[in-house]
Amino acid sequence: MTGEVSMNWQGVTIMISSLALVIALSLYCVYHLVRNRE
Amino acid sequence: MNSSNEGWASRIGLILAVASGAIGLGNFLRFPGQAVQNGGGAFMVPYIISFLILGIPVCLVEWTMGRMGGSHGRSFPFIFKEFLKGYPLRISGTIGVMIPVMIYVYYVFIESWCLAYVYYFLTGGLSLGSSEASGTAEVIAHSSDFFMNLTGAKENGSSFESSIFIFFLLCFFFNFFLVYRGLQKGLEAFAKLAIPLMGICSMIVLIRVLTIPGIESGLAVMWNPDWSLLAEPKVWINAAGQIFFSLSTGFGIALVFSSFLKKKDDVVLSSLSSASLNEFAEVVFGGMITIPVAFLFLGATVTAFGTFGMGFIALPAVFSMMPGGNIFGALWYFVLFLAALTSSVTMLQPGVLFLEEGFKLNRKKSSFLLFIFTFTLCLPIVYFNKDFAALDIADFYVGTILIYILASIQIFVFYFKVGVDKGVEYANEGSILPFPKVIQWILKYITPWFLLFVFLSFCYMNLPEYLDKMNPEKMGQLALLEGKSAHDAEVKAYIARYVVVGIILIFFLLYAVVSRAFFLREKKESV
Repeated sequence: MTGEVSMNWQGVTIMISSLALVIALSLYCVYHLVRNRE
Repeated sequence: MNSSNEGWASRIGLILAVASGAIGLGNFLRFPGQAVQNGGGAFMVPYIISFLILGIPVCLVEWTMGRMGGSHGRSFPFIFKEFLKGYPLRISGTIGVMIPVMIYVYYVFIESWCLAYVYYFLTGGLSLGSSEASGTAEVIAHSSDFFMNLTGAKENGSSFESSIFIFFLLCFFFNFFLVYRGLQKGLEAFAKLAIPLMGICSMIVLIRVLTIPGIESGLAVMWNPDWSLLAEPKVWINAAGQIFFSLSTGFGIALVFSSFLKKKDDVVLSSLSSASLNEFAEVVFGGMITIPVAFLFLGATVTAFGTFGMGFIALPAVFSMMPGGNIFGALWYFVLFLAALTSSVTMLQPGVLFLEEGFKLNRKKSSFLLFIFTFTLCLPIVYFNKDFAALDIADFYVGTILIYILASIQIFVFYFKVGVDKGVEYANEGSILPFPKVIQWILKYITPWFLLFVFLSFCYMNLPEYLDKMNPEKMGQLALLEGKSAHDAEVKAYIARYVVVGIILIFFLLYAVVSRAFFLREKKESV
């Protein structure tokens, strides 16, 4: 296995922000879909 | 029973059907490959900007236009009667019918590769050796050999003798089985099952990957940013292209599916929901699994693989080296298979709907006609698969250039014929959420021109290479310089030529069919 590279603080920040963004957008849609169930 | 009279059972069903069409191999394989080649974490900057100024606006436009044109019909040519007439209508209508059907023709073959890998992982038929015993390079060489033999990429015609032909037939029949069952019982019911299943299987693989010791080095390769690359225009073009293809904007599928909606039905939240589901799959699963695990086992060479190389050479090698790899490999390829299958089923719907609506055929006849048409076109793609020659050319001209053209037609028709303000006003009728003001502004001043810029830049970057691929003399000389067979390169160039000629002939054939459908409709209306 290869293991020479380590994650820097910028990589951690971008990864967490990107994941948070798509999860938040999905939850926002789910919230409105549930609230306005047919 | 006729699908064009059927519609959707529920809003969730429609959202999942559109999202399942968008979630495909591009989310799991193309996105991480693009990210790692274009600055790692830095790629997310142009990616998110493109999502805002291209992805969301084009999705909203497609859904809005679909609902607007729904009073005229359920297939692309008839929906577009709301906006165009004469030659522009017939040309746009032809492209709208042609794109999904033609993409299906080669996509179903790739889908069969995923099914084959599920089978071979489950049955233990994919023994590539371990890195301890034979070294990583040898495992990759075995993996490459297995893939090329399986798909018939070593010699034209060998795919017909390989087991892949059986998997291809299985996929082909299953797609048409779902189409024959109709929108509600076929696509909608299957999407409701497949998307949660995809989510569960992806989550299991994700947890396994994140618990491998040393995975942070793989995550570093994927997410550590190289900001210097943001100065290169191609990184921005690639990010816009990734958003564009990932969301399946421009296919016309969302337009066709939303034509079943009534004025009181929501389009804003629905389109945003299907787009966000697609992004969730792409960033969470595509961004966290593929590159990190591949780097961990294969090292820096991982950035050299293209989409196919990553999906069908690098990852099988990785799973074969991983403890419990057979199970996780089978699960991973099952996810890819489901993603591809749901996409291919959605690709067939616009064609079936058009045949039913334009020629008053029932579902049985329309499915059968489309089956014969697509199967006939599939055979040369599967046969001439040496170095993926036919598939590559078809994907470039239909799966890329024509999609850009259709998306541009849709966005400019919305811009000039409907008008952004009037279109937004219409979208807001019946919608749960209001059309975001900021997106309205972006749509008015940025999106159409940005799309045109991305399209032209893409052509500038790629078209010369693809035109050269049709030049036997040039390809022959190039092959000699590289120490390869000039004859093989010339044959490949002739195949490329015939594929392009075939695409042009199919366009004219479908143009005649679309014109005939309009003629029949006008005749009926005049009686």
